[in-house]
Amino acid sequence: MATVEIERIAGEDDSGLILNMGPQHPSTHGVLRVVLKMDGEYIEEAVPIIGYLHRGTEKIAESETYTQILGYTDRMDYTAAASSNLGWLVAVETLAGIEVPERAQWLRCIVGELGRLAGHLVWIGTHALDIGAMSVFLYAFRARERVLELFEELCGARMTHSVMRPGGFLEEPREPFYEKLESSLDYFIKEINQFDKLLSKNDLWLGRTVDVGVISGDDAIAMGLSGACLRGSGVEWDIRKAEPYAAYDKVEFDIPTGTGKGDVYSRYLLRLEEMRQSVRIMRQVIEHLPPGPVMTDDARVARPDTPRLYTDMEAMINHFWMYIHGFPVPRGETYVAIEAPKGELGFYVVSDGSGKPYRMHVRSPSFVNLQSLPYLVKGRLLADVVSVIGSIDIVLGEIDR
Amino acid sequence: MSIPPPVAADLIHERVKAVLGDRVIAANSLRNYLTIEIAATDLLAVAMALRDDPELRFNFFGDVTAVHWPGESQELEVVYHLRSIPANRRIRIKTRIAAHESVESMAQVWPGADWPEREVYDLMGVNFVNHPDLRRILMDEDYEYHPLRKDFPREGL
Repeated sequence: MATVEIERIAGEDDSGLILNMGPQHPSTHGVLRVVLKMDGEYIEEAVPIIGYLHRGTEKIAESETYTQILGYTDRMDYTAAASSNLGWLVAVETLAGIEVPERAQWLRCIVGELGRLAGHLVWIGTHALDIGAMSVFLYAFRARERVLELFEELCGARMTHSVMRPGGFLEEPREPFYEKLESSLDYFIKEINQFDKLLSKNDLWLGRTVDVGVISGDDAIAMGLSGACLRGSGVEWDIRKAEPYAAYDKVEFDIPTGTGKGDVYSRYLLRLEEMRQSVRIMRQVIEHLPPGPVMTDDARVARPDTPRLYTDMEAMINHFWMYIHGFPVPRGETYVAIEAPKGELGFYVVSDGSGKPYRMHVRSPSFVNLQSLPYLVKGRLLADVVSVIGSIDIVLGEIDR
Repeated sequence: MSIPPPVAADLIHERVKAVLGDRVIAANSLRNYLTIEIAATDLLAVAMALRDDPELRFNFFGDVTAVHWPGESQELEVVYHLRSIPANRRIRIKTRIAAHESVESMAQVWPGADWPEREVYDLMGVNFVNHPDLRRILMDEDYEYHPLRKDFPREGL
């Protein structure tokens, strides 16, 4: 894959050193490969090479029902599967015109924010480990374990859970989930404050992150950056506020922009604050969670009640039909974007009126954000590549799809 | 710089019509999403106009993708999703081309279109002219097919 790349950037005079980083390098967070042209310790050119994890999700989606595709979205951003699920469901529900009950909308905020917390905890752990702060990695994964336990309590699965369905939730979460969630929130804040104490004023940390990988707000917009990479440059932009989905228009939260300088430190600082805001959102949801069903009664997507299923032939036929052929979605197209932990996660869905999409396209935030890497590291030291990759916060499962 | 409230949809529609004139072949706002269809030859001019108009300012290149409709004379439909952060509005631009035709690269207008266009070229075989670096991105560079086209089999290759 990369021989052409190496020949191209080496040029004809063959000057400078070509350094290959990845795809098995631990700081590339998966299977990212970067071919670097070096001038001593400085980077002249960086070329990211991706595609090692390409599974053809968009092609597969054309032969699966809308509900089945949900399982594939888990495996895109596997550190925060809940967000990918949510994005896909909002897109399907928009296209099919399915109303989601109020309680499910609020619960989706909890699931979405738990996903964000899990994603950000993986990010801070690996990012700190890359830069050399081993203990933060251990603390972050301990805290993430608590999030995964919450998911386990919610649905039995820890990482790829697909807990939501078109139309709401499969079933109401059991009581211990709420108790455990409520008792965990203070613990999360305590852990986040600990990261803050360990890193934010740490000389080594500041040296590796301040003024590294700088991008201005206008450049960030022009490059299509989203999420923390955009906010870190001082642009206050969050799809949860700009185009609210689930119940985000009913909760209060701030949009942190870090120091606004657009460097690695700014992106670090704002993600820490984002975790605190996630906890703040979850507190409000627990307080205001309205009673009611968690699944719509729209017969197209709602599974018939179990007693009816065993006694009523039509209910059983409906049930079989729904799971074999999927539910029909009206002819049309939609693009829905949500604020995933990594940035703007968009789903473009084209339906031909059947139970399977005619075309499904994912606008994955990591993919678009990663294209800024050559710009961010040009002229910088080799060691800065590591901290810049960490601060873009990529997940290769989402980039390669 | 806080998030601006969305400008009324009608105002944006009116403005887009005023800026683009008869270059718009068709327009609709189904599901509250303004969609315009234009000719592939107008693409660059339309993109510039939408980005630079002081009231619209579609400054954020959201996404580009393509849909394959085999059997039609213009079988590839290229779809762009733009966003205006100042007006908090989105727009979808669609254009149709035949398989052997090409479209102008939007990377000339928004640098962020670079990788998304490479992906569409790779998986769908849409040729973007004036792209800074049009190479395959997800598949191998010596791969012969465009897997997201409808005539590409889903198994057995």
